[in-house]
Amino acid sequence: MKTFKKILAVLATVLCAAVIAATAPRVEASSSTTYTYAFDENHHFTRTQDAYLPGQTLTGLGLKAPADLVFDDLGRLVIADSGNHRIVVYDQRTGDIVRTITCPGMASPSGVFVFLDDSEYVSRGDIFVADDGAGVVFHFDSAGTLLETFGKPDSILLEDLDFSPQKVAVDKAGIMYVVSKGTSDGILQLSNTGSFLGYFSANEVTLSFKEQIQKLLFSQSQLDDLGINMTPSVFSSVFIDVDGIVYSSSSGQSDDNVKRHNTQGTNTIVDMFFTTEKATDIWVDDGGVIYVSDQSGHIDVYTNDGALIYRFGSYATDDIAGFFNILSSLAVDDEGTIWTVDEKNNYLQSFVTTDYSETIYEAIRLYEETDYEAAIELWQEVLRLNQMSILAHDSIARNYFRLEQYELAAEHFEIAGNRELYSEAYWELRNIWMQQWLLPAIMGGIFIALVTVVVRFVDRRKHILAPVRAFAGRVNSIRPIENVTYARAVMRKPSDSFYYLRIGRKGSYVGASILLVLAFFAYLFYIAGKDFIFQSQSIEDLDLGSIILGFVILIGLFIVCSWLVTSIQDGEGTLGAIFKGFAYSLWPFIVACVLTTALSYVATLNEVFVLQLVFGIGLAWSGMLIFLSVSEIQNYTFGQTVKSVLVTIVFVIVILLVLSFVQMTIRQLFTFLYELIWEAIRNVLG
Amino acid sequence: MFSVKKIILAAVMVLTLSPVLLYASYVPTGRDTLENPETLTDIPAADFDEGGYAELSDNVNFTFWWQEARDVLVVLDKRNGYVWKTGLDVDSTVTQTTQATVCKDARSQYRNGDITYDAFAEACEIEVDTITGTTTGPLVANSLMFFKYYRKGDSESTWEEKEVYSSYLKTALYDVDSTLRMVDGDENRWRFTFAVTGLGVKDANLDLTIPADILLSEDGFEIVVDFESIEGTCLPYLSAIGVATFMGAVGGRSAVFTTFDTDGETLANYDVTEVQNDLIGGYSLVPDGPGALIRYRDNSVSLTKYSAVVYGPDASQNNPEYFSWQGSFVPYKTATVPVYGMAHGNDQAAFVAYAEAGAEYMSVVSVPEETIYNYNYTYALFSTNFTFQRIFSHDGADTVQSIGETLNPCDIHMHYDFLAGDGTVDGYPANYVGMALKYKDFLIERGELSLQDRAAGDIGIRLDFLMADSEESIVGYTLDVVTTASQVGDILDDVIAGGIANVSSGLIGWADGGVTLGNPTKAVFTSAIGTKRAFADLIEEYAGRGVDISFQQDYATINEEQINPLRNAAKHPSGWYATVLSYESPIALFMFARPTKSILWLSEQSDTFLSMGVASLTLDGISNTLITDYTGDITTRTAAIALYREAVADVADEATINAVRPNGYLLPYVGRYLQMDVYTTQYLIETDTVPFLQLVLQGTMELYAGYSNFSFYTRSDVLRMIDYNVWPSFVLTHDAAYHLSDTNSSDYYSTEYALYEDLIRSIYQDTNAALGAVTDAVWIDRDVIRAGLVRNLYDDGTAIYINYTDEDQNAGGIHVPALSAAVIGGD
Repeated sequence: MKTFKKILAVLATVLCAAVIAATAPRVEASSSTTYTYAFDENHHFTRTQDAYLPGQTLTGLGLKAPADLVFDDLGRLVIADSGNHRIVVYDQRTGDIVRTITCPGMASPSGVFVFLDDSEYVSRGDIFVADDGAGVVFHFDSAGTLLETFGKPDSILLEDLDFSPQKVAVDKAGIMYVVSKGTSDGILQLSNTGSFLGYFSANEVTLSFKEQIQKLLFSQSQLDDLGINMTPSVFSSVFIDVDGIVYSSSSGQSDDNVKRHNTQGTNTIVDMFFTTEKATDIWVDDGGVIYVSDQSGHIDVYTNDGALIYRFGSYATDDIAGFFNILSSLAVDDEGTIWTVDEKNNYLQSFVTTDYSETIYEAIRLYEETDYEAAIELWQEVLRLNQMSILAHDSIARNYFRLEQYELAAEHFEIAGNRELYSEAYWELRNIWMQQWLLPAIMGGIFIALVTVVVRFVDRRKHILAPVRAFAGRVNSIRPIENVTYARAVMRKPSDSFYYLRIGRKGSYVGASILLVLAFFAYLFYIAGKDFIFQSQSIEDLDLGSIILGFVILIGLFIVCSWLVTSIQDGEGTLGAIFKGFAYSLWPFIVACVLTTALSYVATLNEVFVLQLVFGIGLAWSGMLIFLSVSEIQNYTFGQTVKSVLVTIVFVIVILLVLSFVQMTIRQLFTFLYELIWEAIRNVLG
Repeated sequence: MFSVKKIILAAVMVLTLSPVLLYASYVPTGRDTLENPETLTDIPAADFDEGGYAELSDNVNFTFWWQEARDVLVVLDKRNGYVWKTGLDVDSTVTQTTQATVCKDARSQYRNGDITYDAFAEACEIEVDTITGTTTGPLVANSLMFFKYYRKGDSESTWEEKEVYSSYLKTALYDVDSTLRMVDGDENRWRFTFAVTGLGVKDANLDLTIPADILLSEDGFEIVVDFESIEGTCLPYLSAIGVATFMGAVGGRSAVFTTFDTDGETLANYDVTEVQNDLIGGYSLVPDGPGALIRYRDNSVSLTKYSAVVYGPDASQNNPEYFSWQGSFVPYKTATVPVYGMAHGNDQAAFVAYAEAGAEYMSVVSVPEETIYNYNYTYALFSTNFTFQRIFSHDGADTVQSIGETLNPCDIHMHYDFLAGDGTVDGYPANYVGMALKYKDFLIERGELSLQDRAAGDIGIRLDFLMADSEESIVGYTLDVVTTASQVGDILDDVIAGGIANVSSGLIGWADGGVTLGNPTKAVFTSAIGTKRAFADLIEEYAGRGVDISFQQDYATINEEQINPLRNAAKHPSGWYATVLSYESPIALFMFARPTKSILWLSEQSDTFLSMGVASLTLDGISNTLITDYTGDITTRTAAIALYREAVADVADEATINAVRPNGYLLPYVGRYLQMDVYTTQYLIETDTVPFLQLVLQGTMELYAGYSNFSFYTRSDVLRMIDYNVWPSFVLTHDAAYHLSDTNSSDYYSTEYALYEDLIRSIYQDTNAALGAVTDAVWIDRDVIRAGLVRNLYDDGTAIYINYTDEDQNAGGIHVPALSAAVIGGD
């Protein structure tokens, strides 16, 4: 389901050649050329206020295939001008090219890094250049003098490696983190003398259960045909933030293409919901906000925990401010302005923040600084600007949670669709409630128990409850009610009860039918009526037709197949008896559905096992009753019953397979006829 | 008016808007207007008595010449001595290659002692336009007209488009015979006949003749092509006609031949250096949204040209497939008026070109300098045919490329009016303001626009109400109502109580089904939103309080859940319904209503609305969507325009028309222009954004900006409204917008009135403080005094200074605080 949602999310922003103006309401009046998207509660992209507006477009720098850009210690842009075999230091504030840096052997500088710290190993302002064409990393001082050149390290582990440094970052110890083009083994860690220390991190292939089965069964070409990518993502960029934390971006697989590494290289961002498949570069600002560029022209902005704040930008072949052809790199200055280079368009494009994005960043900062009340105020402002902002609701809830205002936290977590934290907030609320009401509840229980004992005692002597019992007896003697409530007897004494069913002394078709209908509604209640924590599917997403059809077909098939199987296995039961037996076996299932659903309103994720247990017991109990019904109604031994049930199940599966083939054929026929008739209608009637 | 210099009003506003606002220092970009271009210091005197130029006509403003050898119409503007040519007027026989031969010959002669060095230098040292070194360059650059036609090349599977130029030069493929003849002895009327034979590939026996009348006048000249008069066997393949492609073209590169003789006769030689010609100050104006300027500059990198279909792309013709996709970007701004222009120098020489006929098939194209020709040029192109993918399978997946079977009935009538000087003589300065005022006067003269007789007073505000939309439910759809009829009244009460009186409102999603599923064919009310009676009472009550409430309806965009496409949806030439696939939900697939049905629905709904006492109607869809419907008898864009005009005119007799970004053909009937663009598409070649359209329309109708709810509420945005003379607008709901999160209206992500009441008041007060002073005045000039400081002048002497920068500014003693506007003078 998560994958499906991701696909939807990605599809939502796939850019196709849109010749015709949008049909959706055009509600934009700002100077933005692309929309900004954030997630709604269903994790679908939805439009939000512009986070960034196109700033300057600088076409006059004479760039050719620029591949990377960073800032130097004076806040100037340092650009890897790959096509011109040089590094350009450009002061964007004065509009001057300060200097160009090149050296013999520089072929196509694709990555550039400026050391901005103080270290005994590297000087502040030193420039490292990854040159994938030359296969080396150059080390210049801040004036552009070449200090060192690092080629392929001499290591037995790298014998098969085509060393093509694409990006480079350097930490305080002078250790270089090198992304080698096209390598999926990981980020190379080189010492300050250029020797190989090991792979810092490696990407893995994530396969779904179905894909893992397919991997076992199919050949590589078949897997290729199915579009199953067995190659891990390749790292596309590496970045070290002001705190020395290493971040990386990858391109290839759809999952986890943005990573924050600990010192061992392990990814510390857990379960990112969305990352682009074509990340080209990554930047992290001083506040920990993560910016990722993608080859298709999008810029994704995340919190430091990996929650998507928004995405903007677009692909287009037209040269329009804010559009990209191949977005190769990005960098963010102290003002929050994002600077980008496009490998194909050969110009610099900046994006300036709006008050919307500034407010969000400020709110994130306040949260980090534990000023939760102030953060809530700003998030409320964000919410004013976008009432559908799930991020705002989620963040408000987190702040309330920290302030121990669990009711408000739960309310906003629910709007944000954050079940995990809603559960925690609800747990706290329940805890408070229990602390407040546990003693009165116990006292009340004792009081009720006492009253019950007293009433029973008096009733035994005075028969004060006789009218109530008489009324209950009259109600229970109403035929349909009596028939339905017989299911309780089936539950308690199944063997005798099924026997009476078989000989027709108890139960009825009406009662069985009512029980089936009750079972259906109980099931519907179970799948659609649980509390927010356990209700992952919204009601409007339910396909009622399929549920009804599935329920009816499955039960109908089982009954008919059971009858057919038992008919040839010397069974004594009729079709009607089997039907009744099956229906009367469903009472535990009905109770379990209702009970589980009801419990979901008081349980948290910590007690999920209780719900599973209740539902499991109900299901198993009904299953056992069905088994006993077959045994009693057909007058089978245990062995005969097992055999009969297994054959019935196999029979059902075979028929379902046949039906699915038939359905596909009919569907194709129907589609063909539909298209034919539709074409005729369209051409004749218009 | 302007003699009143003393300041009688200095309403300096310090705008106080939403709390968290951060400003970077002002750096002008293509979204702003830059300072005036460089002044031309050298306007060459013209003498056309020799060299194949024939005088056609002479009047008080112009002398017209014709260069027969190159098909160039020359216009000498006597007012400023400036010469305009419809082509480059380049001698294609002198190329870099031929001149190299000349130089070599002369060098040999000099080396042999046959001629002197001076003679060698005289023969060799010239500058050759490098465009002559290209095959088609001189043809393109000189031709008064060209056409494109489709032919099948070596591959039978696809059609290729070929261009044929009117210039006399022959090519190996076809013969051109273009002539100019006087018509009826009238020296102001000439017939240009552009005849071509030998068209096609294998048989090469197709021919085409395009007659064009050239009308000369004291404004400039006109080119008229009657489509019925075009004839020839190639006519079914005619794709497009271009006119005066290189008129006013700027730039080019020259091959400069120089000689040297430093080491004596034996080593005398010549050298060739290619240099970029001076890019004179000036710009092209294109009708991109409000208007964009493309200054003549060296972009250093190759940038895509500006090309826009006037009145927006045709879903049937501009999209080869029957379906198109909605992108994740802001839609390109529509060229809503068929006009462009070019200005050379600083208020010195300019022309404005506009279509009187053929606008619905016109594209405006502006090409930047970084091409093989190295020129900036802008021109009009008229489309007569197109290619599309013909479907030959039931599922629509298998297609083959085809060309249209029916040509667009494209009559062409282009005006080229020339402007000279700073406008002190005739009121039309030679810049984009003069172009706008000239075009505005043309529209007024033709009855397409009329100046409103407005009284001085407060500006208006547009408050639209989003009422409901549909979301998918377990069975069918449910209606999410976010504003009821009575809640509209509550909100309006509050707005009026806040001191805003001049309000007009549109009701969006008022019908059962809401915005997306509301049936456009009839007026179906639901008590969940408001009964017919409730709406009638609302309209009546607030009309009495001066608030105009209208129903808004899109009559052009439909979907299958809303209405059966059979007999209602417009067809693509492939025979399938023209369809747009969007990423929205629950409805993702949209179609276009047939123009014949749109007007029927408009008529039927407007009857209901008028019976309910509305004073205005709000139109969306048909106001800005134009499609050719290939159902049975084709409804062309021309026919659709006629239908729309007739239907809207009928309604306009009884009610004011509020229209969302209306195309030019509806302007005569529009009383309120809604959601007006104030930014362009932002092609990188566009250097400036200017309020050209606002200048044209100001004073003829009320102009409202896009909704301020959506990223248009900062100080800079308010200043933009004041600068562009547009009034504020908001879209509001009573309930929170998130109730619509599962509907197609989820794009309206922030609309709740309670969140906006303060902002509405503040933005209105700020804009009204400036624009309220000029509601009865006509906008006559706009100047950028320096980067970020703009001055708008009105005919009553009022000047509004707008300071976009974050520093206080002084202009001639007038102090304009940072990020503020100041109103000076006036009656």
